[in-house]
Amino acid sequence: MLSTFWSGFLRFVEKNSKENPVIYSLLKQLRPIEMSEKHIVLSCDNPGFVFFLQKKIHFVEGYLFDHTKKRLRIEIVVKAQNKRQEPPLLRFEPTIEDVFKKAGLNGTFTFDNFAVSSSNQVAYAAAQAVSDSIGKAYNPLVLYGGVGVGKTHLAQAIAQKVLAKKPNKKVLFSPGDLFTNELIEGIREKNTPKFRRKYRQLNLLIVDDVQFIAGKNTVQEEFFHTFNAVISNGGQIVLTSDKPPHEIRRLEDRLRSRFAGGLTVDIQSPDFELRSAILLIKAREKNIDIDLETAKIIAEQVADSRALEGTLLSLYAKTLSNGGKINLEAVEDFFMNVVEQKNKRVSPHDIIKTICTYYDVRQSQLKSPNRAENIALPRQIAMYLLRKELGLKYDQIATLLKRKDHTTVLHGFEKIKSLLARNDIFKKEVDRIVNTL
Amino acid sequence: MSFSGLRCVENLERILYTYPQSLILRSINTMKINIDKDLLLDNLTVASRFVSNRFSSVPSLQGILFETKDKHINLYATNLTSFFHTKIKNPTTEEKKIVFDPKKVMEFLSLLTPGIVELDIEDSQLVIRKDKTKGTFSLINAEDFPYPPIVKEKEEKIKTDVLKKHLPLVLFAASSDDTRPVLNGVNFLTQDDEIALVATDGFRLSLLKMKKEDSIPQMLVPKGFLEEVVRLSKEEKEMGLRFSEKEKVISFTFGDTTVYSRLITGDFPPFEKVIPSESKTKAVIEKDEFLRNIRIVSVFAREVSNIALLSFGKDGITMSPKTERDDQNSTLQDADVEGPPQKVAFNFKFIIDFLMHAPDKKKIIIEVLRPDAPVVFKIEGNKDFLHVIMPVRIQT
Repeated sequence: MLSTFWSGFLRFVEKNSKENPVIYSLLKQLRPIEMSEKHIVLSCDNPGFVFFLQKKIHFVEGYLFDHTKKRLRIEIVVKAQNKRQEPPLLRFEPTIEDVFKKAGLNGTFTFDNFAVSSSNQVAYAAAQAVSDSIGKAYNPLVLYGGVGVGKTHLAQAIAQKVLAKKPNKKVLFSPGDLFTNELIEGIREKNTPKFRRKYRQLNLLIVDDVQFIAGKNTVQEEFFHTFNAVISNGGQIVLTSDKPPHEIRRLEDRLRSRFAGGLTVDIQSPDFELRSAILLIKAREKNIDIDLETAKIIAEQVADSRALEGTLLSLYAKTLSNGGKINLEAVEDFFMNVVEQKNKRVSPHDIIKTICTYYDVRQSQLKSPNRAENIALPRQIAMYLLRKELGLKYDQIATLLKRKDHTTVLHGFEKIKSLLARNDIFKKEVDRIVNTL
Repeated sequence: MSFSGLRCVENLERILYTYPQSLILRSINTMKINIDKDLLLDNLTVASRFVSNRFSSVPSLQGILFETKDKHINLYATNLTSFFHTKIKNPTTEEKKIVFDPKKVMEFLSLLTPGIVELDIEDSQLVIRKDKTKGTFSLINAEDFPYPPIVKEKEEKIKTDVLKKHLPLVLFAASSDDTRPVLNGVNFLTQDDEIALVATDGFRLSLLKMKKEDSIPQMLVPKGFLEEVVRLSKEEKEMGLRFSEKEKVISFTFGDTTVYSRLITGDFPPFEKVIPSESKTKAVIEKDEFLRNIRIVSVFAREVSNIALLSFGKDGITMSPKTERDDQNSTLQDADVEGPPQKVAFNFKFIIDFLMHAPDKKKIIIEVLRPDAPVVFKIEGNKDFLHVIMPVRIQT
């Protein structure tokens, strides 16, 4: 019906086409696809035709009126001839591993292989909530805790879950030092817009170990704007840190207040049960044969979950010769050696250095006569740890820290000891230091 | 004056009385133009490249519009998307407008000896005379011949260097197949102070980023048109650019010649996802040797649907056609290869195409992620450019 009408119309135009030869020949190449009382829709595969005809549309409408005695409006649409399959390059979709890699994830940290117990269940639930509705639940989500408690694991698991559901989301997992380095590089190459494009348009930005940006003014400034841009675009921010935001020294106040604007969750050191569970999970992932009793013994000895994995692997390597079965005997042998090694490894200097970094004081200050609170406390902690961890004698410690005699050290040691007993927060702080040794 | 005019009318009456009408009209309307043969031929040659043979059913679009006006000869040509216009100075004062098919005329002109030719423009034919030679060409109805779009925007001068140098690296990757218009063009994407040029035909892709110096707008421009622009800009240092956002038209002016193009409308496919950000195996090789070797392989690969197999190994890249029996035809290219060995199959034509456009005496960097993921080709020392080729899937 439509095509009969159209060919009738074309014959009519042909008769009158003396003045408009081009219009007629172009009209012949159009196909009518829809017609009503008021308008007719024509389709065409060449955009050039449409440009030309649209300028001359009143001629065509004039012909139509002459032919049908009706005022009809003409619409022309460009349609590709045949919708074929996408060509191979454009059909290519990166695999989920590619997507993870691009986002800076290593692909092994998921919610499924995260062991949950009372020490980390709040953080786990918060991370789950954030990954289910990014930008809406808690923004930002700040996870803090000592070494090897699973901050990075949870942060990566959030990113993985988001990407697994929607691979086209812009997600980036950026260690704090990477953020700093990329910014410096951008400034050096005079290409900060590129840096901004990369960070400010993200749907999910995770900055791991955000405490690394503290004390660096330009970086904090840039991070402040990045933070605002991401959040105002509806994006989600997840941060991890080794201490709660209010304890991060030399962090700008405006950042501190923004970090506190969402949810701040603390992940505590894994307790014994959790450590056993982690060990069993790791063993299963690596196909290492280990029984529950043995796992418990290892978990008793090793406090840090990263060290758990290391211990497991070294044990496995040692027992490979007799079938790879890790048994009680092997474990006992192993720990005998490790204790000795550890004492050898940590030097008094390491302890002093770690404390100074943690509290952001200089070693010279620690060894000076200055008795200001912010220096005296780290100094006393140093005394305590030198004694507790390395078993040094009081007068040795006094020499190390340039104190007059051993009584000062004794006093410091006792003071910290009692503080630890009374003050839970303080205890965690000291535990974190010990963990980083 | 008045006397001779009167005599004319008298003559006319006499002629009208004695001769058939058509003959009289022709003799009255004949217009003579003298023009240098090579000048005309050169301009026709450029103009004819804007004529598309796709419109065989539209006779007047097969031709070139030849119009005299304001002491100039104006030549127009179009395929309805791109338009060509040039002005040639000529003392003629008459105004006349004809359309003719350039092919025959050009062939005829090219065989003439250099010098001035005489054009007799009559109502239905064009006669070209040179010494004792004469050629007659029929005309096409000039009604309705589309003029270029009018661009009111101000002209800006831009340097041709950038486009001349960079555009060819991108242009060849655009599609020549008309079924998907968005792939027929080069996509100019502006981002802050950067401009990216992208083109793909769905099998390979070229991406070039550069600092934005001139005010090149964001647009999707047809490939064929840009090829002509590059050709026209060969001799020029500067060109005029006009861009109408509203009309979706861009024009470039070189002296008395202006070319116009409608921009392609539609969404360019998301191309970022096809550029792998990682690679496992990386090879650095000499371009010229690579080109020679891939041509050697192509001798045999033509029989196996153009597929060439590149095996990246410690000693270099072994190239062979994809056949069941290995080793019969192969060549080993020395290369610095890092990463695990991989075997990737390509349509060799895409590799040759890329190498033909890559600068000589440079090294090529090949980055392979997996045999079934796009492979990245870079030119050493040019970190703003990359070319991506999709490998062919093969059973191994």
